[in-house]
Amino acid sequence: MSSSRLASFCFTLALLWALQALASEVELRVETVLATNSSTEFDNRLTDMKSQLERTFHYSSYHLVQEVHRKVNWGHQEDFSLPGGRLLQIIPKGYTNHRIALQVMLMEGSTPSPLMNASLSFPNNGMVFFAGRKHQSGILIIRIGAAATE
Amino acid sequence: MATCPHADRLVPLLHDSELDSPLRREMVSHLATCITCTRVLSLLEHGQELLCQAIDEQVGALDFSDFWQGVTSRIQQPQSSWSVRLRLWYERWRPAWSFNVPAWAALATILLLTIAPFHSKSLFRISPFLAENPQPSPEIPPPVRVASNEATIDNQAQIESLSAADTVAMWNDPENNFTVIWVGDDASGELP
Repeated sequence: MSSSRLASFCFTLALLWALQALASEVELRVETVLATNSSTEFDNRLTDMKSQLERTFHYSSYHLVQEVHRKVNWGHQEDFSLPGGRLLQIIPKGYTNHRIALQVMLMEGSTPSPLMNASLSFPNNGMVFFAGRKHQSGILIIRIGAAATE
Repeated sequence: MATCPHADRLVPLLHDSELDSPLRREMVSHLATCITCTRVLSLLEHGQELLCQAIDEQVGALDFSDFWQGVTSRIQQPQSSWSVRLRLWYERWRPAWSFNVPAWAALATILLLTIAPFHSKSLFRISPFLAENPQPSPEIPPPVRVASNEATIDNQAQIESLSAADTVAMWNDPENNFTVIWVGDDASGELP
């Protein structure tokens, strides 16, 4: 194989890899739940996490107030507006050993200032809960999930 | 037999109309007085006539009855295989691709450098997360590595760094395989 053909072959491989890279995305899911003790209602849309909520947080009522699904590119910051003027910034940093690495920053205030900054990873299709911020008569529970195409 | 110096050289040229006008007129007037040249010219004309007759007879003997059928069958033949067509396409555009090696290498390098930031998924191994953290703001204390979670079940979240302006707590639920990060209001400080 001549050097020119070899070079064009390598270029084609690089081009294909680049196209595959552009096509790869990660799906982020941010679900915000309001947990209160003001009633005993349980939102039917939260059935899949009912046991997790009731075993962990011990509130009498759970209501899904917001659910956002986005497909985003790796390394790009995504902003999610949360109830109470809060802002959640997520950067999907990478995917290795079947684990998704995220940078998560929670901001709040009239001029949003950082409240919490975490660098974490969890398995593909996994999740993590952030909770504790007061809202109305209860607290917000934020479930962040991510799924990468393998 | 009488000979003429013009018979071998000029008469054939006159027969083929290759002579210029002055020489042609001179040869025509010469033919009127030279029997030898006249005989040579008449032999050439007779030979040409015989040749034309022979050609006409052979052309007439050709059978064109299957000609259009043959053309049609060639048109209706199946197309070449994709590999042949690909090869033809490659050969057709080959001049446009014939850059030298450094040009191809430069193109590939530019492409890689352009795309690499978007593709940390497979090109780069993820280094310790802290190295890529954005600059913490003044309101947040510097990140502290959390060691308590590193030996937990693999399905749970692993916290590489965590910092918060308020009270923060973290725990894992081994049974449900998930991690909770509690960021409480200072006013309450309550945990579930």
